[in-house]
Amino acid sequence: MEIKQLKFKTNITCMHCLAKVTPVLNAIPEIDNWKVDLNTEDKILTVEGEISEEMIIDALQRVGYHAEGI
Amino acid sequence: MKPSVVILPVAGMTCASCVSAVEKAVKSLDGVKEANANLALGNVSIVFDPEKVSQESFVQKIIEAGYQSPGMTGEFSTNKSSQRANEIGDRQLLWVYILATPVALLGMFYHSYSPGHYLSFILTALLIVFPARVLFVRAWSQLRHRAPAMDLLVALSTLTAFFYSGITLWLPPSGTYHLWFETPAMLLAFVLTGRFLEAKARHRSVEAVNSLKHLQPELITVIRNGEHISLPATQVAMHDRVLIKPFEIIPVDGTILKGETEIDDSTITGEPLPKHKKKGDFVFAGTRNLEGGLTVLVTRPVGQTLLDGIIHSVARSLAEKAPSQQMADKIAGIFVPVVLIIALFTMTIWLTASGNISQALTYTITVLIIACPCALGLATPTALVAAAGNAARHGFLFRDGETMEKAGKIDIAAFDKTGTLTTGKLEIKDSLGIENLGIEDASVFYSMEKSSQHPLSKPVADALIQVKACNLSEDVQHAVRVIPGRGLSYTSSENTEYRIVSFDFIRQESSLEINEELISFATRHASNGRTLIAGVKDKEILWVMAAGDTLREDAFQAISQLHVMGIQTLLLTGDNHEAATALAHKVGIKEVHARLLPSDKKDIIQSLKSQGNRVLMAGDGINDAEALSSADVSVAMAKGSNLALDIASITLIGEQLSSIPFAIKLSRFTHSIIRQNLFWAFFYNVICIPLAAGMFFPFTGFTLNPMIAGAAMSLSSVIVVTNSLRISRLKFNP
Repeated sequence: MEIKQLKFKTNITCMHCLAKVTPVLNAIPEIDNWKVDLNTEDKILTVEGEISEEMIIDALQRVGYHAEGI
Repeated sequence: MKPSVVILPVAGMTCASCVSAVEKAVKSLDGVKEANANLALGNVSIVFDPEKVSQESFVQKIIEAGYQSPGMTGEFSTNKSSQRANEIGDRQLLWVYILATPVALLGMFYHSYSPGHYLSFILTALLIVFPARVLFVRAWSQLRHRAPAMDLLVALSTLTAFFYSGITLWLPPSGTYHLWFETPAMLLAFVLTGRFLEAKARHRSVEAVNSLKHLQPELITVIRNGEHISLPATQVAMHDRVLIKPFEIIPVDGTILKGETEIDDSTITGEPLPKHKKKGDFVFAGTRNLEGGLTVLVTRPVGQTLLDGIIHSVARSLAEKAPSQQMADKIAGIFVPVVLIIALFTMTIWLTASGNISQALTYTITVLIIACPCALGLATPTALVAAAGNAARHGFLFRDGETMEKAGKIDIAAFDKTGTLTTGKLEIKDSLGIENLGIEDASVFYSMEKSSQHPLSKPVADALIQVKACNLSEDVQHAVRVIPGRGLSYTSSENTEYRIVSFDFIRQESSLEINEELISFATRHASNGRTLIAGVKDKEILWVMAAGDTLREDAFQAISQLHVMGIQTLLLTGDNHEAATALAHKVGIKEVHARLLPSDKKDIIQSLKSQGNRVLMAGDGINDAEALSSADVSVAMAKGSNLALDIASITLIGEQLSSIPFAIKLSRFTHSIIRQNLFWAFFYNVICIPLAAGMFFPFTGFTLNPMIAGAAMSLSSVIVVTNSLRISRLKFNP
């Protein structure tokens, strides 16, 4: 898989949600870097690495969050 | 809300009763789940609910219970001045001797010189009130808690002798009389010297624990929500991603997500050779990243790491160690009440029998004076001093008297490998192909190694320059690249690639030709537990070297002596099985445990102990600290880590392993001398106390006048001292 950048619309709306998703995203070794922009309306999650859209969506779903690729 | 933990320093705890008093005081507060006071470390650790109770109330409770606490410091060690309030320092001890020496000289050589009596009275009074006060404070606290120990016995005897002599001096009775100033002065000086040494040993162990804390870096880079932020290591949480730069100490335990490097994990494993680590591998706090940058996923944050485990386990076992005084305290615990009862009996019986108050009083006081634990006090220390002197002459030190007694009872001796049975220094043992190198190639390899900090670089460079007259080239040094986890690489201006790499890596490269000679060289040395390094030019292997550790000269001799003495030996190491078995075979150790983590070593020691064995552990590194602190007797090499030295009960200054069997022999002999001495001391008290009480007076008319009592006391002391001196003549026969 090549290194790419993916963007998602999410419902990670607050610092508490951020704290919930951090362990999951941190633990995926394929992710080089990730970031949620809490200031945008769509709470855009940007992920870089050798990853696929499903991987990220599945991971977030396991801790109860919803993501949608854009 | 999760419970919080706080460790508060407490000053003024002197005995086991103080410990339970402090615990009880703190536990009485609502919201406190657990309180554990530690006498050796001088602190109390409290588990509490921060919503119900505050730290200030702990301090208040501790003060109410009669102890001092300066409040939260966050350190293991306490505020030094407050902790030492009840202990004797260097300067106080000096004053004890300045005051006690003239009293002793006057009493022994000029006892009929009357101005000397007044001088002795003043000096002894000063001694009791000033430098020796600590002892009377402790005695008072033992009395208050109804836990009589050595201090109380000493205080009782010295005060009785002092007041009796003082009153006699100012209101002399008719006839001959004797003054007893030198007895309390000398006894106080002696007992306080013991206390001083004990306190010193204890502070050393507290400092050892604190020194480990410095292995943790203060600031660390964390990636949070895509941003790199610098945080104190204590604020890094589980599941954080942290960045570890080259040459940084890793502050947490975790898994490598990105990067490849060499890690110096000698703190944990004791092995000097760095380990290659890559994505998915585990790294430990306290180890050092030598080459590439790493991204690490935190699995155990600061406070829960393996290193923290070592720190806590060391602190706990240091605290559990019984002070050497315990045996004497136990005796005193029985002796004090018995003496008091006998004194009381003497008083009542003589009063009812003769009605003569002054006679009853004289007998009572003589009982108290004669009960002065002089020979009893000398029995153990003189033997231990003689043993310590003998040990020092033979290149090793005992930490305390307890060790000297315990070492003789050892039946299993466990050894660490690297740095203990071996010198821990890597040396080139054998090489292939260096002689055929051209000067130019040799110089390139030499310059490459000179630019690196790898522990193998220096031995390899030294080996090269010994055979070939290499030139150091700055151009090469500037252009050397580190291939993280593999070695060094340099490409010359003619596009020739030079590499110095681990032989295991190039073995897998199909483009390189490896001939029969190389393979047999490699197999021979690998089975001896040696590390192979190769020099490669483009596609050709030019040379190979085998690096290894050097066995200490007297390792075999020491192990076989232990076997002759009926002591089992075993090897505990973090290294691999091949290297461990190869070395064990050479020195004659049959039982080998390899690939051990620090806590595994400790577990093995503890399981041996739980089977009823007395275990000695010899080691040198931080990785041995847990095992050392849980062993009955621990031995450290003088050049080992500070932590190992601070914990060790025996330090081998001369780094000679054969000192270990001798230490055991010396200890066995010392123990038998102490038993003989105690017999004499008790014998003296058993005979003299009834005499002093006037028990035989009604039948034989014989009683003990203070002069005879003094002579008997001297005789018993002389016997004890002479007997102890036999220890210093014990010879080391290899």
